[in-house]
Amino acid sequence: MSQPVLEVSDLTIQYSTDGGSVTAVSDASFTIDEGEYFGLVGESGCGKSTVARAVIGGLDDNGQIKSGTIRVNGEEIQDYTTEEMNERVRWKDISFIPQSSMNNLDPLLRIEKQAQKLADIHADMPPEEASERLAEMFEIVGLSEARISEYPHQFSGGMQQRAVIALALFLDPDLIVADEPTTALDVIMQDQMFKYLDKVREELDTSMMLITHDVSLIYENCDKLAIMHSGQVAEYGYTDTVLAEPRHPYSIQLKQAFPDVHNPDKDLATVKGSPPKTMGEVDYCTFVDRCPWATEDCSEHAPSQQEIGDGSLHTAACFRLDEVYRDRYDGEPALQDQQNQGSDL
Amino acid sequence: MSTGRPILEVENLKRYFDQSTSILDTLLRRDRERIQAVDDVSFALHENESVGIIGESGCGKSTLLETLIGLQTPTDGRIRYRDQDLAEFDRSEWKQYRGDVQIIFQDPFNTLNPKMTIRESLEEQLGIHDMGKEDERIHEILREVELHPPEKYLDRVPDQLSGGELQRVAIARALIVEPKILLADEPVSMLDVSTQASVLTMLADLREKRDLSLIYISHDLSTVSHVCDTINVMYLGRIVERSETRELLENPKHPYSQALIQAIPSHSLDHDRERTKIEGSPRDPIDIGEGCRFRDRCPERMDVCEKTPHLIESEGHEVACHLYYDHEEYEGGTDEVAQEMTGEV
Repeated sequence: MSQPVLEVSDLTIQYSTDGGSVTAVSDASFTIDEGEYFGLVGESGCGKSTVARAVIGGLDDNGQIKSGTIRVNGEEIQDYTTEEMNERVRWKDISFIPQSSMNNLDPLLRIEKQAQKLADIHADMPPEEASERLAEMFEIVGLSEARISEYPHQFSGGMQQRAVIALALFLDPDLIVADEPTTALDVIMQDQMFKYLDKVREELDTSMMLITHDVSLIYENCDKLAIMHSGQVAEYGYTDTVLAEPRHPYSIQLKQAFPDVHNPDKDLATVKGSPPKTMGEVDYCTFVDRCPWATEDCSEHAPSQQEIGDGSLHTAACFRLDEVYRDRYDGEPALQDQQNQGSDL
Repeated sequence: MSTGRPILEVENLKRYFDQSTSILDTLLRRDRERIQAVDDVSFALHENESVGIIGESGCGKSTLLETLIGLQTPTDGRIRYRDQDLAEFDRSEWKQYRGDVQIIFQDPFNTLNPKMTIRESLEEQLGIHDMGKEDERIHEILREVELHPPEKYLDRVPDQLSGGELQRVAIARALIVEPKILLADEPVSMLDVSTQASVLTMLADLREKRDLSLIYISHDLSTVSHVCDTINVMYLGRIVERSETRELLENPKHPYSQALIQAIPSHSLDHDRERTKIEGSPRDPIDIGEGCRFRDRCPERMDVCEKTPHLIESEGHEVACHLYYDHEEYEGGTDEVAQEMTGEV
């Protein structure tokens, strides 16, 4: 396999605040391969947006990468300055779709002009070529080519969102980082947007990192996922495998907590308590206070990723995987899981 | 379920807003544009019943709720509480009504006074409604909303509580005056999934235990279906379909309800969903006149859709769509239309 588009290894990020340094992300690792759609899911405050910001080099001033590496196409970028990021990475290698993308277009510039500016700064592309590329991307996201010369206010909210996707795509990046791209949208609009992203996927081999709190979006749209809890990656692997039979206590409960419109009688589980404040060095499992399986060990050491050994790259960070598995699945692997393994390999 | 007279009855309720007009408009005697936020809505709430109202943002569901509690004056139509018209209420009757009908808002972070302790917030509510401020009552209600032990929370201020805990306090504050009807406006949409489930379950239990009637408003069909007996689907100010919850989810009739349910991402493994076929977004409800309001996006559009459809009975649903009309019976329509109907249904 060719080298991964994005490789995050043992990433630890801290924010310095008045009350001391808060560890937003601790020892997070994952990789995204070419053309792969990767989902990062977790509750608010779990550090998923911080990871995204680190990847595009956009951490807040008080945020700092303490250790670990971020490799984009093999090259370490975590120590890049803003200028280096602009010159080498942003837009060309990695582009970004923010949460309320309607507010991320310059209201005073025609979309075409915005594209030409980006093309000039990041890719030395002549304006004519930029317009041409943008028109192509407009076509893909279902906007008429003729509209590239309009101002953002002439577009509806959904169309602005698509224009942002077109801009994110038009310099042909290897990876798009999308931070809750549809949270502000209603379900029908959300589905429309993913319909266009499906098309993007068909026609280009761009990879995507989708950050969301909604497991079902990841289930439908991503090949691989990482579930985060308070800065730690709890579980990681191929979507089908992980969601068919989650192994980490947090993933198990999270899956149970989701109301399902197609199953209104489902008993909803609750993940007790709330995520801890992670101050300073995190040398414990951040889920320990909420976990029914927790032992003393869990509050004394941070668990590392354990291979599940189901044949895929499924891992979970938990000391008591075997006990959890026995209690949860009664020793018998679900049929579903075995079927999915077959399709994943 | 529903027996006898409804406790709350809404009849042809309309709430229009005037667009702001410039001095030029006035000079030129242009007609004022009217935003038809709620247009001809009727429904009834019986004792112990829970009714859901769903729709996308801008469909008028929050305006409807505000009108029910008296924060908005109806432009036309009637709201009756125990057979008495709200428009004829005097001061003391309003006070009684506002004790009997309590509301929970979407954003728990902004609904409580940040400078008051939880005890003060609850005592204030009791004071307003001339009820005794015994400790026992306050402890009891906190236990009911699962804030254990009450002493731990009483002297805290909102800043010291999590989102889920705050929403529980908001629910406690609503319930402490022993209301008959609870209005809930997206009560869990700002909470994380892990807490969402527990608040939903608690709300359903409390409703049962306290013989409450509930009107639950949301854009999220999957949470509504866990709490409500019947669901009303709203689109641009009008109710387009009403049915028992499970029936609506499994067998939606109105093309809009179908699209809405179909667009919800699923995380069950055997559910293979197609992307939405609906294009565009809802228009602004400004002077939109006659006709079905969904017709510009509807995949089933016919000529007759230029006429406004009314809610009619169809196989246990009430649905406002020409697809289900026997046009000769309802409108004295032409043969042409009737033929079209037999082809479609």
